[in-house]
Formats: sequence, structure tokens, C-alpha cells
Amino acid sequence: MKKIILFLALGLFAVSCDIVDEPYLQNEKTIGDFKKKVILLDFTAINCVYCPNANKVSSDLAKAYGEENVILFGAHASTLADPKKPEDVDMRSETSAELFSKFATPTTGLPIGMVNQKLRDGVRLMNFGLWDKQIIDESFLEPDLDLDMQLSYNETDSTVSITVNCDYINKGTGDDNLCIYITEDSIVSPQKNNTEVIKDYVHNHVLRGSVTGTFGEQLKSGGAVAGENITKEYTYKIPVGFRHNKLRFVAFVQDVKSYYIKQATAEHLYE
Amino acid sequence: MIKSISSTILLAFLSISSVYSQGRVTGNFVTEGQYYQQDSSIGTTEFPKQVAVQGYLNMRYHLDNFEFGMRYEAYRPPLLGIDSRFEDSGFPFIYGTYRSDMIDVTAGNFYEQFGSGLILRTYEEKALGVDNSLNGVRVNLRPDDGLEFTGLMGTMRNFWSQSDGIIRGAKGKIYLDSYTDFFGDNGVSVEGGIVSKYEEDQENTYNLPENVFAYFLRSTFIANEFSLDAEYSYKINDPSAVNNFSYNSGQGLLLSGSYFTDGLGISLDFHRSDNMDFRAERSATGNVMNMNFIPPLTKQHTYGLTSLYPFATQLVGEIGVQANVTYKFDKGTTLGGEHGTTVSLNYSRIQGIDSNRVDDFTYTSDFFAFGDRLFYQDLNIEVSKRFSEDLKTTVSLITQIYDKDVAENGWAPIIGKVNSNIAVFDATYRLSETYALKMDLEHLWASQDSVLKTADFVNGNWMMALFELTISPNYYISLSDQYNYGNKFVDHQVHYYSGSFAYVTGGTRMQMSYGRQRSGIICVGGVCRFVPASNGLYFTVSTTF
Repeated sequence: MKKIILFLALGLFAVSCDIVDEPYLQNEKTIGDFKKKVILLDFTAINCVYCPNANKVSSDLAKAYGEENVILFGAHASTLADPKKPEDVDMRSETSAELFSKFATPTTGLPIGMVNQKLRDGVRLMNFGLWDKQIIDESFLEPDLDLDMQLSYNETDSTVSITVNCDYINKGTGDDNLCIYITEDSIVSPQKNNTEVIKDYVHNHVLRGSVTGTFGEQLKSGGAVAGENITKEYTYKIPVGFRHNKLRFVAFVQDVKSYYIKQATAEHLYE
Repeated sequence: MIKSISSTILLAFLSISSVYSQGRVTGNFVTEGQYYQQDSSIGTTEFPKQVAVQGYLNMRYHLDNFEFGMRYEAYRPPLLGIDSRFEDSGFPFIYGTYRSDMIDVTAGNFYEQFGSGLILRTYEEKALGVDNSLNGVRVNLRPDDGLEFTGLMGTMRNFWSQSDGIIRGAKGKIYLDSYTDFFGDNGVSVEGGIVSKYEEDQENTYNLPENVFAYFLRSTFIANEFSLDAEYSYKINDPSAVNNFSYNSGQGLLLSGSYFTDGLGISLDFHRSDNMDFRAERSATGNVMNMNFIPPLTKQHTYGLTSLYPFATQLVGEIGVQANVTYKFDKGTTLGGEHGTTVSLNYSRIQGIDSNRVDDFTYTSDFFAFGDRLFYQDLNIEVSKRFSEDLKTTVSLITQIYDKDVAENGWAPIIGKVNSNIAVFDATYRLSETYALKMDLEHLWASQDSVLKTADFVNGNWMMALFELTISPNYYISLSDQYNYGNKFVDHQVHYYSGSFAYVTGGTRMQMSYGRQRSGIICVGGVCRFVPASNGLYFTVSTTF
């Protein structure tokens, strides 16, 4: 009997309590050198009331670590992204819809995002409070390849010539696809939050479409050899309605089987 | 690793069973499956696999003071609407228990509830795809007739793995009437408990509490005709994915009073929940790794159209009241007639809590103030009357207001409130000793705040008819149709027909049904999940041994 009471008493002592006072945010962080770039894709929507919170987190992370290191996609998807009023800008895209269909379900709650589309403990989609940890983990990794992209823009016919160079540093594994996406900044459209409609909300990093198709085109099949260099060239006509001076092209290489993004690079059409 | 341990324990279980042949084995087996057909007229989604089958086998071995048990589960794949992360098979539930008059000790998996569940409730509900069993050690002590203690620690099931969070808890309950005559014949008990969850802070953005502490206090008074129950819970700051990393503490309060006398029953309930969503991992969302539960404050309707708009308890914040009056008019009275009449009147109203945001992380909230937003209201009357030995009827009239955006759309202002009125007529006529025919006719009138932009499949008026023939004691045959004839989108004015056949013998039940299942929400005890539309053949077999 005494032993049991002792056991319970020990159990009670083990019960701890951490009440956290301000500041709620950490001041100092240890981060890697981002040799491997990070793509943070945020499924968002104009009628999703907590999405502005997530947008702020993603924007702060990109500013803190460098927009060349943390590349953002705001993928407007799910029924919450449907424009409801005439002033709502339709920011949905086929690319966002296909990604949502692939990685989420109709019942997936927004906001939710993916860091380099990495599957961790069976979970790919995670709440914005967990993005930072994933980004920092990725920042320490050594990439298997380097990626470089050059854009050449012809204003006369609104075409962009895209050249992507891929240098495999290490021996590759599996099949790789190259994807090139386009994002647009500074789109002003109403956005709901949990108290009101913000009429002049500025939407950045809106995923507008892709050059290569949502899941890309084959870059290397069966694993690359260390030191192998591959160059891909594309010509892309910018659709009507895209504001050229707000566009950013993002190239990335993903593993065909796991969808994990191995390396990425981004260039604005206008620097 | 988990699977190899499971296999080892299974072998041990079988060995013990064979060695101690004087023991007793009990258990049950359930399997259910569905063959899915595409049906664009009801909005079925693409099926990853045409056939989904899931099954469970529970086995318990009893020997003197010992009990060993386990459950095998297989989801190949899970039925539509059940989380796809269940797709696998194995032994997620294995335990051994020693029981004596004074002490129970359980090692392995177990379910536990403290009080009403405000700070801890683990349970299994296959219809919801919920199983949040704990894996660890639990001790129950009964040092005296009026005294109970429980201590436990463990991790929570997370599909086929365990939570990162470690849960520790203790509770005690004292029956005061066992120690004093002060309360006369009345029953008085006081109960309290604590729970702490440890979860490492692995991210670099927030200063997160690694130990989240919660407690509850409960007091119950039971007299001959009265009963009173009060329970309060508190949880320290627990920023999580569900509360969008709010640093507010959480509070819950349940108050319940009831009065029962001959033919009359009255109950009044109040509850308030503020930031009380408590999970074994702060990143969990949906019905995953919930550690606690708030009992629903609304009537749990069971008829087909009455459950079209069920309300899910909003753990992050709600306040509400419920009143229920039941009166039975005696046989031989004017309203009672020859066989008596029972009338039940129920009202519930749930609103948001009154809160004002202070900054990105905190808000203030007046404890007893009702917020402006009405989440749900339900006023219903049910009259049950038996006209003869062979004919009994029930009539229900229900009027509801349902905030669809809160309940289903994550608060996004898309649809607003749905106002519905429902009439139900249910009659069962016994044709002979063997045959009985049940008829259920329902109609739902519904309108909503806003003009629908998205063509959904649940809006406007519905009618429903169900006929069920019982051939005692083994057979049940039913046909039903739910018709959304008032859907605002003409293409969606479809019939949801289905037919079902069931065979029951002893502890075994077999059922096969074919037809359409509308998309919607199903709830069990205030916990809900989304069910996608489907069409096809469904079967289930269950047996108890």
C-alpha cells in the first residue's frame, strides 16, 4: 500500500507546469546556410479567416532568412478560394488546384502548408506554427545538386526564354523532374479574417501557373552521375492578365516518387 | 518496432491462453466494406480504390484476477471519410490487467476518462475514425468503499504510431456520504484531478510551454428526485495548431441540474468552453489525438433528416444552455388515452463566447457573457403515443438554426446560418407475432442567410420516407429515400435511395445495403466528421463471443 501511494505521489511530482509570459516569440535562432533552398507552399484562400495569420508567418520567415533562401508559394485553393463578390480577384490556378488535389483532401482545413513537400512522420501538410522548424531543418542540409536559372524577356511578344542549369554534386537517386512555377506579387483583393473583410489586402507570392506542368518534366531518370550537368530551355508566353513587373519564376527539382524538393532557385522577371 | 513488439505480445498471449486452458476468452469481431460506384449526380469524389474494407478483432483472456486483451485492426483501405492515415494493419491495442478488490494495474493500452472528460477522455469510436487510447501504465486504487484514486502515464495513439507528447495524470474521488450521515440518504461526491502533457518544443519561432498542465474539480449531489452536477476545468497556456497559437489559458464549466418525479422529468444544463482543445501533440488537427471532450449540450437527434445539421461542440469557445422537460400522461387520462402518452420538450442554444483580442496571441473574455454569434439553436417537441398493443407512433416537430460556417467551414463566411423546420412521423405496427412494419415519414424546410454561389448538395427542402419490415427474430428489410427536391441547384435535386437487408442471430449480425449516401456530417456525442457522398454496395458482419 505504501509503495502504491509513493508511486502516485511520485507521479504527482512529475506533473509539471510551464506558464509562458511575454515575449511569446523567440529572439535567437540557430540556422543553417541554406545551401539547399526551401520552398514553402501555403494553401490559402480569400475566405479562409486564419489565412492572414499564416501569410504573415510565411512572409516574416522569408524576410528573416532571405527571400532567395525561403521561396514562397501562396496557392489559392479549396472552395474557400472561390470568389464570392465582384471585387474578389480570382487567384485560383490550375497548378494550385492540382497540388491541393494531390496533397490535401476536400476536408483539409486551411491554412496549411508544406516545406519542400517533405513527408515527415507520414505528414506532409502542417500548420503554420510548425513551418519554421521544418525550414530550419532544411537549412542545414547539403544539396545533391545546384540549380541556376536565367530569364530573357521579350516585351514585344511577352515571351520569356528560360534556361535552367542543373549540376549534380552527388550521385543522384531515383527519377527527378524539373518544375518551373510563376508567382505574382502585390495583388490587391479583399481577404477575410476572423473579425472582418480586409478590403485592400495585398496578396503576395500568388501561385499563378507553371511552365512545365504542375508535376514537372523529366530531368533525369534512374539517378544522375556525380558531376553531371543538364541544361533545359523553355519559352513561355506570359498569359494576359499577369502583371509582368510583379512576376517571379521559380525552378525546382523534385523527386518523382516522393515529391520531395531537392533544390530550388528563383528569379524575378524584373529585378 | 511497434509491429515486432505486437507480434511478440500476440505470441505470449496465445501461449498463455493455451497453457491456462481454464481461462475464458471473450471478444468480438466486426468487418465492414463498401464497393464504390462513381455517381456524378450526387458529387462523389474519385476513389483511390474501388473497394474499401476495414475490420477489427477484439480478444480478451480472463484468468482469475488477470485479464489480457488485444485488438487487431486492418484498413485496406479505410472507408471514405475515415482518415487515410489508418491504411495499414496490425495490433494497435494490447494490454494486461491485474484486478483485485483494492487495486487494478494495467500495462499497455487503455482508455480512461476523468470526470466528464474536460481534461482527459480517451475512447474508441469507429464511426468517427477516433481511437486515442493511451499506451502506458495505469493504477486504480480503492482503499476504502468511498475512495477512489487513479494514476496514469502514457503516450497517445496516433494512427499507427504514438504521440510525441507524454501524458501524465492523477485523479481522486471521495463519496462523502460514505463517511458522514450529514447528507442523510443523499449521495454526495467530490472529484478532482490533474493532467500534464510533456511535449518537446522543437521549433524556433515560439516560446512554447513544454509542460501543459490542466486540472478539474467536480461535485455531484444526488437526492431522491434531484441531482446537481458541477464541474470546472482549467488549462494553462497551450498554443497549438487548433487555437492558432493562442497563449490564453483555457477554462471549462459544466452545470447540470435535474428533477425527476412520477411521470415528470426536468433537466437544465449550462456549459462554457474557452480554449479547451487539448491534444497530445500541439500540431494535431481534426479528430486526431484529442485528449479531452466536452459533452454536447444539444439533443442528439437520430432520425434521418433531423441529423442533417448536427452541431459539433466547439472546444475553442462556446457557451450555451439546454432545457428538457418530459412528461408522461398516465393511462386513462384524456391525453394519456388507453396506453399513455409521453411528451418531451427540448430547447438548446449555443453561442460564441464574448472575447476581445488583445494582440496576436491573447484575448480577454468575460466568463459568463454570451458572445454575439449564435452557433446553434434547437427547439423541439416529441410526442410518443401507443394507440394499441400493436400500434405505436412518435411525432416530432423541430425548428433549428445552424451556423454552417462555424460548424463546417472553419468560420469562413460562406453560407451563414441555415434555418430549418422538420416534421417527423414514425409509426410501428405489429402485424403479427412475427411481422412488424415501421414507417418513418419526414419533411425538412430549410432556408439560409446567403445566396449560394457554390453548388452544394445539402440545401433547401428535403423529404424522406423509410419502410422497415421486421421478421422476428432474425430478419430486417428496409427501403428508404431522401429527396432533396428543394435544392437551389436543379441538377442536385436528387433522390438518395437505399435498400438494406440484415440478418441477426445470437450475437451475430450481417447487413448488406445498396444505395446512395449523401455528403454531410455525422456526429457521435458532439464529435463529428465529414462523410463524402458515395454510392454502392455496403456490407458489415459483426459477432460477439
